[in-house]
Amino acid sequence: MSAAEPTVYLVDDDAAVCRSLARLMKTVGYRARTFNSPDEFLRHYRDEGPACLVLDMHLPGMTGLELQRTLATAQRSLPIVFITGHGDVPTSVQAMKGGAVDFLPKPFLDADLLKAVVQALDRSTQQHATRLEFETVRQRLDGLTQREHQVLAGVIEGKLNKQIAAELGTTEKTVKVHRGRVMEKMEASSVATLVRDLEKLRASGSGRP
Amino acid sequence: MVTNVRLRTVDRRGQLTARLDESEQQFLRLADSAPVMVWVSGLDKGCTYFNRRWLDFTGRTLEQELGSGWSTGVHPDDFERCLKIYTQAFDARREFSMEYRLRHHTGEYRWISDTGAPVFGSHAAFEGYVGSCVDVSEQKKAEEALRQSESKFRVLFESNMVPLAYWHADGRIVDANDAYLSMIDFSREELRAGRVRWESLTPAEYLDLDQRAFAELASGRDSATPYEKEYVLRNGTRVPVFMSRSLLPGHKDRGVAFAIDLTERKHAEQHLRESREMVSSVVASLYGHVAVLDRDGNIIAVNEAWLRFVRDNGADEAAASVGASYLEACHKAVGLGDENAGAAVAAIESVLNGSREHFSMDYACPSQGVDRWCEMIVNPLRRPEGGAIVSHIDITARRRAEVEAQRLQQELSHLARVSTMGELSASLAHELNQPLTAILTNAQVAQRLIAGANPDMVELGEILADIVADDQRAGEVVHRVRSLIHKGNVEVKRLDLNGVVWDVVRLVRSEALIKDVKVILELSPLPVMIRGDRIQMQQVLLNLIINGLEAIKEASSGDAALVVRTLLPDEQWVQVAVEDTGVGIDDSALERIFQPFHTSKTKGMGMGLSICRSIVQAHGGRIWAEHGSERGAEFHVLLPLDSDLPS
Repeated sequence: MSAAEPTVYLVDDDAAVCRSLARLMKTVGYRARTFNSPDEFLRHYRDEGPACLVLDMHLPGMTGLELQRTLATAQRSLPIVFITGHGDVPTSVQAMKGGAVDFLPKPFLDADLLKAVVQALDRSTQQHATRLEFETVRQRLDGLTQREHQVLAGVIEGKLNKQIAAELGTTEKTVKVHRGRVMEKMEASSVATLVRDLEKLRASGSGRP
Repeated sequence: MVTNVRLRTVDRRGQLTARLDESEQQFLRLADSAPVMVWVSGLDKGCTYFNRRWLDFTGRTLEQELGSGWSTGVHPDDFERCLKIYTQAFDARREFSMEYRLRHHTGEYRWISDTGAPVFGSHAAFEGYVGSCVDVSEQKKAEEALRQSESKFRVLFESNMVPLAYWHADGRIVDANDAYLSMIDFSREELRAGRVRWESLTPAEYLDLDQRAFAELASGRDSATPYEKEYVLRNGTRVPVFMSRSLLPGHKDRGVAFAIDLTERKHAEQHLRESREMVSSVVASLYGHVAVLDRDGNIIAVNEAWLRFVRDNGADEAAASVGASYLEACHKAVGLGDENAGAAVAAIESVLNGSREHFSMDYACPSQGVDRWCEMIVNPLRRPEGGAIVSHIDITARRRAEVEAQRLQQELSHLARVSTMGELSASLAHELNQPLTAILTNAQVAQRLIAGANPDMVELGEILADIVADDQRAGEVVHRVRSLIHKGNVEVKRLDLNGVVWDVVRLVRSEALIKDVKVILELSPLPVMIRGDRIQMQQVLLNLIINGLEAIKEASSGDAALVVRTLLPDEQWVQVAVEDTGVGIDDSALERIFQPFHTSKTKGMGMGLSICRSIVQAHGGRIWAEHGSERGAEFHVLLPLDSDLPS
């Protein structure tokens, strides 16, 4: 799979609806995968690059909202476009609060759906890029020694080499060497860049500095 | 009767001696011509003479009778007694008199009264006996008859079966039996004291009748023509009596009377008259047209309404009046092609011959261009001679009301269906939106393909095929909804209930989906055939299923499910069960929920289950609710199985 061909997952219990939507996605150049129930989708879904989910609200076994919650709990950030033949305000509000990209009542124009799908895929692409960035920073962090970690902590807090040396019970010269290595390993051009990268990682919740 | 003559000389052997003198000759001549039978006996008690009349009586010769020859004619039962009387009297030379039976020459024994007297000659010398006999048979018979009649009368008198009284023309009651006394309310003491007077018991207006009877008796008749009169008692009560008077033999002014108490008969007559009058006035006043038939089907009575009915129908009045044969008239009508008349003939004949107790039939009888309905009722006439009562009642008003009620019921059930479909509108929109979504998407894809270079014709073909299929699918949804909303007539047909279940489940599929309820079908593998109206049956199931879905939504518990089951519990019934896992029903409401306007919903008329029950009952079935085995409620519908093979 190439990044140029994002995947649109289609979940609707109505086979005819699934088939027509898959046709539309293919026509505009997306790869489409259809499922008749949330269970079936969950069994086959793999996070393999930019993708979005076009999800019917009323499904046998599990409702669209339930699937949305399940995906959120599993930290699988797949942007969702809800489509429904029976739309009511409370349901749509819940869906949007849960992070849905859009909520379209059936029947809808292809342009409206495609607009939502493009938006969802953009979000997905963005999420993927961010995640890639995080992964890089993390890998670099993983490359530091214990002493380098200790020095890094001091640097982020804005301490002077002399202060860090005193805390670690070593010489200012040694700290300077470590600091140079940290900056090199983290590929940071300045302390400000280093701090910004680490902040991003922490904000995403996956950082463990 | 004793002939006091002297017999001077009679020969011992019964032969007259030559010395019969003139007077003896004269005696014998006299004796022979005497109107009585005469005998003479000698000193030895043997008879020496019998006159001609005796001999004519016994039919024997003098020779045979002489001596003791006569005794052979005496009845053996009387002989000893008579011989004793004769011997004793003879020895004492006394007169005697006795009765005995003597054989007549015809062989018959007749009663004879025999009187004998001793004969004394000159110097008072005893010479024997002379006797005379008279035939007293007739007298005897009369006496016996009188004795018997007297004793019979006595028995009658004392038996108190009939009130009897001895009366005197002067107004007294001389004697009376207990029956008479109790009838006139007097005691025997009062009777003995002479205080009972028929005159004072008789109201003035009846005295003339009594006088007429006395006059009849005075004219020489033994008994007066019986008549009815009244007694008035001391307490004022009037007692009607049937009076019959006779004179006592030998009296001109007193006699015996029997007085039969007619009170009860008068009451019975009065009662009968009243009841007849009542029956005839009741029949006359009946709104129905009534004819009474004898056992041969002839009309013996009709009321005014009947005659009016006949006139209004332009029928032959004579053929439907008293004396005409109604059966014949009906037979004629059959001949003229009247379909109802055939049934009427069969009904009347079966009631007349007792094979049927009651018959009734509704029939159309348009009159003067107006639709009219009548009911014909035939009941047996309960009397020994048999017969039947035929009545025709104009039931047009009732019939119209029934038709109107039926129409209203249909209207109501239609309204309920429309209202149900209204409740389903959201889910029906969902059901329609699916194919519409597919159609729209497919059509727009096709537009995109055509706009591009080298459109893929194969794909375009597939898209068009899908559009057609989805359009048909949408059409079916619309059709299902419209057939339920359509105000059609009831159409009773052979139906498979499994098919009806499928119809309804397709309609509520989206509703169940929206309410997140799983619908489970457990349908009988065999066809579940009934006779009924498809739409009405759908309505019943639709109601039960929607109610179930509502109840489940209210309970909002996990794994909500609704089970629809069809089964054949036996060879006569089919059963449909709708089981939900909802909130269930209170004990007190299990029956009440079928009543009109009972509702637990905020929306709706509360007519749903009431209409379901009307529909099920009209199909000859039964509907009821139960608690679910674990939770929720179960609704059961039992309908007669149509076991006829499809034609």
